[in-house]
Amino acid sequence: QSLRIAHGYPAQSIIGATYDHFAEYVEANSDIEAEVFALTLLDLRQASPGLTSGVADVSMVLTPYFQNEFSEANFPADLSMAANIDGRPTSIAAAMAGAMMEYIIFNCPDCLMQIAAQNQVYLATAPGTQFSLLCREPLASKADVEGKVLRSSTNTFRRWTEAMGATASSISGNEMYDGLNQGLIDCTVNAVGEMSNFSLFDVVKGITLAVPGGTFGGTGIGHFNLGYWADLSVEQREMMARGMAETAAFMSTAYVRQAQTDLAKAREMGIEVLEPDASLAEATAAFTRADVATIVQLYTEQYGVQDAQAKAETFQALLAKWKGLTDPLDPTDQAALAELLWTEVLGKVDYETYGFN
Amino acid sequence: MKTVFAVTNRLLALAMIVAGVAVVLMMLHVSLDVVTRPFLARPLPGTTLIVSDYYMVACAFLPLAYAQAVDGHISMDAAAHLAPPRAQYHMAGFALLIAVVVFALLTWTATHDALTKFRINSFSIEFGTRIPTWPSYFLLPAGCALMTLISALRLLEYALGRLAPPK
Amino acid sequence: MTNIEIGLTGVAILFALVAMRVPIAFSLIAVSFAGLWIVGGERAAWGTLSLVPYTFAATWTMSSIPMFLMMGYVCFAAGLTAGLFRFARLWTSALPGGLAIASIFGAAGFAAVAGSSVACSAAMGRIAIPEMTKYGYDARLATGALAVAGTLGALIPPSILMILYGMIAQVSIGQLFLGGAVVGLVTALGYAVLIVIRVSLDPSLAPRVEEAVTWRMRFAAFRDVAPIAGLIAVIFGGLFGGFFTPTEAGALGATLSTVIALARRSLSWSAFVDAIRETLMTTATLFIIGCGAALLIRFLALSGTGVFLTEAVTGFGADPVMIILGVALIYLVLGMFLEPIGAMLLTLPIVLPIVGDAGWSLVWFGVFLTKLLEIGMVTPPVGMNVFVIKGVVGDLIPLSGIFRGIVWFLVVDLIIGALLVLFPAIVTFLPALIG
Ligand code: NA
Ligand code: NA
Repeated sequence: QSLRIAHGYPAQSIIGATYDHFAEYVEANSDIEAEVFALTLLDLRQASPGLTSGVADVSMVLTPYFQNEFSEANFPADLSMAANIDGRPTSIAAAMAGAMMEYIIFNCPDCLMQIAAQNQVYLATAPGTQFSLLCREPLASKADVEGKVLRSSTNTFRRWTEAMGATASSISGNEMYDGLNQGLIDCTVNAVGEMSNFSLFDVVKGITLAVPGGTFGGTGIGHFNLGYWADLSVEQREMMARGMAETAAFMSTAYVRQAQTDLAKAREMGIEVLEPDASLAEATAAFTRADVATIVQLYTEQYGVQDAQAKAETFQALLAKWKGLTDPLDPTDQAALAELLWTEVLGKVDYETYGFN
Repeated sequence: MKTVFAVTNRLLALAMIVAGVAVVLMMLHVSLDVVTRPFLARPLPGTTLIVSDYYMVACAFLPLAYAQAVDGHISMDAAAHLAPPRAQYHMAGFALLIAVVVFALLTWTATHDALTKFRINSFSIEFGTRIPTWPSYFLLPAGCALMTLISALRLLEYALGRLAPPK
Repeated sequence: MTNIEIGLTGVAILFALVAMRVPIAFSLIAVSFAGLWIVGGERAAWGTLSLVPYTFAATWTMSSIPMFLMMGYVCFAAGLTAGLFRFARLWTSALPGGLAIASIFGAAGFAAVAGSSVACSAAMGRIAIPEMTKYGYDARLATGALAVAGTLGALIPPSILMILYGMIAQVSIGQLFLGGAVVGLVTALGYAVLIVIRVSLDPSLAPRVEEAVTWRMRFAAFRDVAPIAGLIAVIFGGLFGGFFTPTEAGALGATLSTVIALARRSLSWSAFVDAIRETLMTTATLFIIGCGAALLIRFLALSGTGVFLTEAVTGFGADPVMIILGVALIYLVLGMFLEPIGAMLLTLPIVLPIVGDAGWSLVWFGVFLTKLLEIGMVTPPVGMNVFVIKGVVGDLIPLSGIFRGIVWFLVVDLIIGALLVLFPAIVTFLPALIG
């Protein structure tokens, strides 16, 4: 038996290491031979259709790339800024991972139906760290941000950008360096770890931490082809799930470590690292609270999500629960997070039937 | 036979006109987006999406058949021109056979995809504006189907011994 | 058969099909689809075939390719290019082999609005070769100079090759453009020096043009190049000055060249339609090869052949200079037979990790690679630029004669290649300075 893993990132990246980790886990705990294809088999936009058609057995589906196919799972992913209501979590990656997985698997039959409609089975999500402002100059207050041009890659961040009196730009990821370098954009809204991924150290002079905040919650690292899943024995499915708990924890903590390394390097290079001042923090908090209603309305009207208000409340309750569970942990403690994801979510699943109803 | 060629030529011209309009619109649309940027608070909605999903797909795949009709697809001449003329004639026929097979496969699978996108009414939301994406998926099978048709007609000419020698 | 054997067999069949004049794109798709079916099964084959073409073309960054192509074709159709040659001719009239040098610098100017080397050879060749023939230039020198002058088209920005490389290697296209501009100008200078030396040693190669050129004429010629110089200034000024991105520069360049041509009343409707038709033909034929190459990459990956080939290359040793020499040798050999975009798309997934791990900057490598691939454009047996020039000159000189005229220029190219390896800063200093 074999397992074909494909992802659209370089082999040396965190996501590359994440899937290498999963492949090692599978080979160590079963007779299945796992092979990882980095970049060569599926790119980011091909991941979901590639799983549907069986080009790969496992891949990472960035669900927001497929707005209508995965609208039910994208809905809680879009609510990630709400994790900062009532205080920033120790690790937004850990809190969101747990909340997303528990929500999709146990609280959202609509999510599972959409995923099954794509001929897929869902096991895990591994979000990154807080979105921050990576800028050409240090910005601390709301007045600093006003009138600036910010690269905002999601609709939520575009709304925030406009609420702050700035202009949203949608230039692509590989134009980010040129855009910052030439002053076409003043900041890009990204996780701090993208500093090294996109080699931005030469063009960024100021980092404003955790505004707008939130994270990319649509990183479905554990999407399987349904036919492949059906051919596995119940023990093998359980092994895969256990491996996915390990893998999601590996990736989330690796992002935290990368953010720490990048921040240290930035400070060393004389890049100013700031907390938002009261004006910017309060404006962002006010936006975040109001935006929950906007997102509910958007998903109801544009994507036809049913009972969106109730779903939002369910998800926010789960976020609060997971903040409680993960806040006491060291954000780089992979084993502890893996254990939580297993005992609270994946360990409770019935692998005889999961994926088939 | 003559009618078939006449109809095909019309279709070729139509495909080139649509692709030509797409390339000119792409040029104007992106330029407008850049030029108005200093004056508008937000970019024109959906520029990136319309450029990549509509204009690009149109100008990449609709002209395929025209290129085939004028023998414009890039091939390597180095070894082939050493062969005797008779062999070269058969090689041209063989290349057409490969073209028919390849583009029939592409037409088949792309049509299937386009119908799926149509069924789920695929769309995208940019800056709150809902932009349907499914129609663009029909451009690919359209271009490939026309390419298959042209290649098949030329293969028929080959079988009848009437294929013009390569340039 | 093992999967790797299937992969290698597939590559062999691919070469056989290409040698039989099956278009490259069709050969790539046919071999890859069959190979994916055998190695990965029916679902993988159909799945990949349905995923690749749409996602390959429907990309924002790729849109700069038709746009830069269009800018070049419109400039040519509107006669903006002819002024460049006339200008260069007046300013180089005092030098030995002045017309040949003029065509090199004319091509360098046209390269700044054209995205590919074939376009550059074709445009300059049509203008300059008849002139040189008229003045009794050696046919080998004339055609050789034009074939190599074309290679500046891909080195001096904009460059289709560099855009594709930047997409795949995830490096800044702006930085590639800056590095390419330097190497392109160094190459042009190198060619010019070579022409001066050769014509000085053997004046019969290029009889002196008996024509009274006054300074007044020289300065008056600025009017001929003003529109195209203005276009270049706006595009690159805006690009490096931060008003728009490389992708947007393409569309603006195409629009501006059309507007300039219309304002000068030098663009007829039929010439405009021709420019669009050329743009569409080139775009479609390039993109379908790109789709085929993307399919082949997947076949090589799934069969394990890609890894096998990588390990074969890295087996030669770990010294960065040795690795880069090995890579250069591979591209020089591939360049003899393959069309550059196909060669690049085919090999980058294997080569990039090797080069990166050896510590070379990927921006530097992008420029170096472009130089290598452009050398392949003028080497036998398959040299696209040479074929284009042959198409322009007709029966003036046999194909082999043009290839012989290129030999001396190849020496210059190899010296420049060696300099790039010895002094990588030639490429990287400008991007670092501005960046
Ligand atoms: Na160029
Ligand atoms: Na060659």
